[in-house]
Amino acid sequence: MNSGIDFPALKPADLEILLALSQQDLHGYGLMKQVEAQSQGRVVLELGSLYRLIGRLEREGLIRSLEDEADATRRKYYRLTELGHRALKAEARRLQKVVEVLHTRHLLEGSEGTS
Amino acid sequence: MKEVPERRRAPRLSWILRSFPRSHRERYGSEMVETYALLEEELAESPSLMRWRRRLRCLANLLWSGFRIRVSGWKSRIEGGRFRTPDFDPKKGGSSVEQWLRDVRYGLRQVARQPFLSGIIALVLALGIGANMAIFNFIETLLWKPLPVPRPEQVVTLNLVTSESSSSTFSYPFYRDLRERAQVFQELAAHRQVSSTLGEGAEAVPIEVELVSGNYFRMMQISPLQGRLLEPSDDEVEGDRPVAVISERLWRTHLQERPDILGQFLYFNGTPLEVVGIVPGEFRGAHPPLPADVWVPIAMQDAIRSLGASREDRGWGWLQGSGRLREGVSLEQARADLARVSAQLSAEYPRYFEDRRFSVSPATYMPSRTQSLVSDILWLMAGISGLILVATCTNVAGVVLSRSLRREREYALRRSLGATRWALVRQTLTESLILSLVGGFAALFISRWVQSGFVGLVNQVDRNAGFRPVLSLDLPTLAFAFLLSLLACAVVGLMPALKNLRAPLLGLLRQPAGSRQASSGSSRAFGLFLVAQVAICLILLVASGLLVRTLQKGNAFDLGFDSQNLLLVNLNLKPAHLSREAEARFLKDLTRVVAQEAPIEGAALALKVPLDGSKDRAGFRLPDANGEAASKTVPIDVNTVTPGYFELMGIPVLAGREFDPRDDSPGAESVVLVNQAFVSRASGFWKDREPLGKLLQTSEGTRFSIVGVVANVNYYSLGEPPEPMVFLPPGSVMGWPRVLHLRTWGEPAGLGSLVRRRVAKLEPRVQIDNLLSFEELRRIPLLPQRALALVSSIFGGLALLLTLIGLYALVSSAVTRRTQEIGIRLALGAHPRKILCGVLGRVMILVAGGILSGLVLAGALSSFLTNILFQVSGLDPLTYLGVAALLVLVSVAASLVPLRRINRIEPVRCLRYE
Repeated sequence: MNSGIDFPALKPADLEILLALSQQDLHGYGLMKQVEAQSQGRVVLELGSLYRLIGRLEREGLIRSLEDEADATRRKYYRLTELGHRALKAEARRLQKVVEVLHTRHLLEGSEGTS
Repeated sequence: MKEVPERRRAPRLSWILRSFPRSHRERYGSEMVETYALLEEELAESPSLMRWRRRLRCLANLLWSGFRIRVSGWKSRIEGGRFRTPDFDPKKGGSSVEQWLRDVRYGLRQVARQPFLSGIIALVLALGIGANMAIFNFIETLLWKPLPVPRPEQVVTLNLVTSESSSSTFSYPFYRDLRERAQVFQELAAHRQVSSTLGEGAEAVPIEVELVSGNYFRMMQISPLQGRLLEPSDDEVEGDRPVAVISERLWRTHLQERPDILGQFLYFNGTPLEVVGIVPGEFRGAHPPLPADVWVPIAMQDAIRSLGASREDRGWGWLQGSGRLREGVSLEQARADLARVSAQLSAEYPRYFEDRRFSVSPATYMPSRTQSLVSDILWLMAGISGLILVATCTNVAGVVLSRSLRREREYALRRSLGATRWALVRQTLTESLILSLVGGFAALFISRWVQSGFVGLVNQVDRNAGFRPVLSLDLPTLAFAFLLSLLACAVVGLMPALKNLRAPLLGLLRQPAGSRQASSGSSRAFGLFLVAQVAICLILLVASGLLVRTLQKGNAFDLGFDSQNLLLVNLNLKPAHLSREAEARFLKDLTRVVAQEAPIEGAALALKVPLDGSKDRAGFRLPDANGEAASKTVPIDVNTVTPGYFELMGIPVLAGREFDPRDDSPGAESVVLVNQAFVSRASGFWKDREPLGKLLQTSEGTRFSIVGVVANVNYYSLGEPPEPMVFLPPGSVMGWPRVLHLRTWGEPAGLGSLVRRRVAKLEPRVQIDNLLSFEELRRIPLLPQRALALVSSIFGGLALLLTLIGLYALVSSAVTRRTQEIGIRLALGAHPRKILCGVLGRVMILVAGGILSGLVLAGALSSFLTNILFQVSGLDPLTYLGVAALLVLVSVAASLVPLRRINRIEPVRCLRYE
């Protein structure tokens, strides 16, 4: 089944958040730090942007929140939903195709040397 | 999972979180506060400068995010979310609503950047749109609207057509015959609106009364607001039922909504009539723009008008008719039926109804008498204001185009950064749309102003008109204004927008900033705009020139008598209810008394006033070859005048003598005077061609002998060929005349109160309907021309100003554009004057093109004006040449100002750019 067709391309920040949550459930602060770490500092989410994106992704059904009983502060954790997984996979496939095209056209070869 | 540091203190974020929508705050607010606390903790060890930078960045981001959530929430309400809309197009750079909003925001910024220029553009557009809107509203209300009655399409107006002319009045007996014999009407009503007074003595106020047949309201299908309306039984016997119904307006304003008004008696022209009902406000009579306030049965006509005539007089045509056609009867069927009845009537009453027939036309809001005058003026004004709209649009288009040329580089840059051509076109159009909508909004106010001016003008043309049309900004008018705004936007914005579409991209970016060359397309567009503006300007100025010449000729026209220092007093004797003898005595005394006053040189009475336009005719049998009255009766205009009239007016008596007081004495021979036109028309039949002593006979048999011949005077309108006229002494056939003519030693304007005092002293119940100097009266027939001259002069001046600005801008931008070229030519030794002449020559070719096309168009359009021009040809060469010369002069002057800059160009500085 080609589920990628139903999904539009993800925005870079959305992709980073879904990517971070694909490893483990995270609360807001943790998500912020994880995104920063996995993107090697390229993507830094400010507080407002973080919760704007969390709000939107949750509304779109790509992530959902769960109260962690074990956490003393009763902090909310976020988890990738099934739809979120599919959207992430679709995005990965899309990026893969882009990379394949770049390979066939030999556009990736010189780039390491020049940078 | 990462370890979360302990929370130490919760910073106060609440106020900044308000930038987020409430739902978002409720869901994530506390979490955000906690996360912020963690961030603060993380920063605790950093240097304070860095801490504050982070804090500020965080706060700014919070504000921005809150705003974005609000915007996207609004947007998704309009369009749905991106994962839920099946037709979402990921390639689109933002939704169309967002794009449009962006365009509007950007457009508003551009408009606000040049507030003065934008204001002028909007104002100029507002003038153009407002004038057109006002005229449209008038045309729609006055010419197209039906009567405000149920099923107005069934209501028709009755006309009486003769082979020569069409009139709308007929006598009561003919009305009755027609009502009984015609089969196409549900109801056929007769009516006649007359001026009267309400109240007694000095407190009487003028009021419009409509005398109506008993079935009038049944025909109109109106139901009463209070009481009852008039019924056929009210109109059966003459003078039998002194009843009246009044308008809601009169009841609410003049009578202060008296609850006990029904059953009360009000005095109309001194006659008490019982109020039996109130007509609801929206009904204003058969002629809504000249509304009536009281309706009285025709049977009461003598009480209101005091003419001493019975409505049963078959020869007295004074009524108008309106009818409601039966269900399914077409106008053609109605006309055929009326033709049948008319043929019967002609056969039965050859003396009164020869060569005549009844016809019908759809009833309109405007009565036909005023309609032709108003519609002529309105359509001409529509033409003039349409032209000015075109002129304003082309002018504004020029300004917008030049502004967009200045922004060519900006557009090129934006396109190279990925903006599509369509996006730029949309952007330009949005800006024009903003301007034209602002103009359209301002036009609402301008149109009201134009309208009140026009209503005042019509009332000045016809003082008795009482022109009070109900004008409202209804849906069609608003739609028209909106449409005009869009049209203006299209004309104004499309050219620059399309220009963008074609603009070469790279060439523009490569050019250095100071050396832009307008493409040939845009100069062509500029040239075209200028030609159009000059042409329109010329047309408007020619129109105003022709009208001004008409006014000049009209004012200088020799009327055949001395019109200086002449005061005319229209006396209303009806409220006094005097007998014929008492009336004659009063008028004689009044003439004698006022003539003795110091500022008054002389006084006389007459029935007709020159130029008043009305025709009173009586049937006469002309003298035949033997000087005896012939058998055939012909209608001839009559005027009744008192002795001394001709001397007072300065009308030369060419043969015989004037009336003298003895002509009035009992037993004296009945005498008349005739004018020259009468003699030249009639004397062909006479052996000796000598008019004096010949006999005239009225249709009733009274014989008159001609004792004098006077010069011709224009009694109808300016320049009309004089008609034969018979002057009768007072009291002979027509009763005593009621217009007092006073010759004064100086300006007659201040004598009104003196005359009023003298009249009141002799007979306090007599009222003065109208008191004005002849110079005022003389202006009235030319008021339509005066109004159009004013409008076309104002608009012509505006067009001239616009042309000047356009020309200045064109030449100025041409000089700026070609500074470099001119600099090089100067450096190579060219003389500045030669270059100047070259540029000027090119501009003048455009101006000449505009003038030529304007002359041709003006000549073609002048035929619309011929009806209202007086003694001036529509192709008057003086006017055309004068206007053309004026335009050439003004164009040269407007071009020379910016052209002088050529002298100041320094070749060296220009060459530096190369």
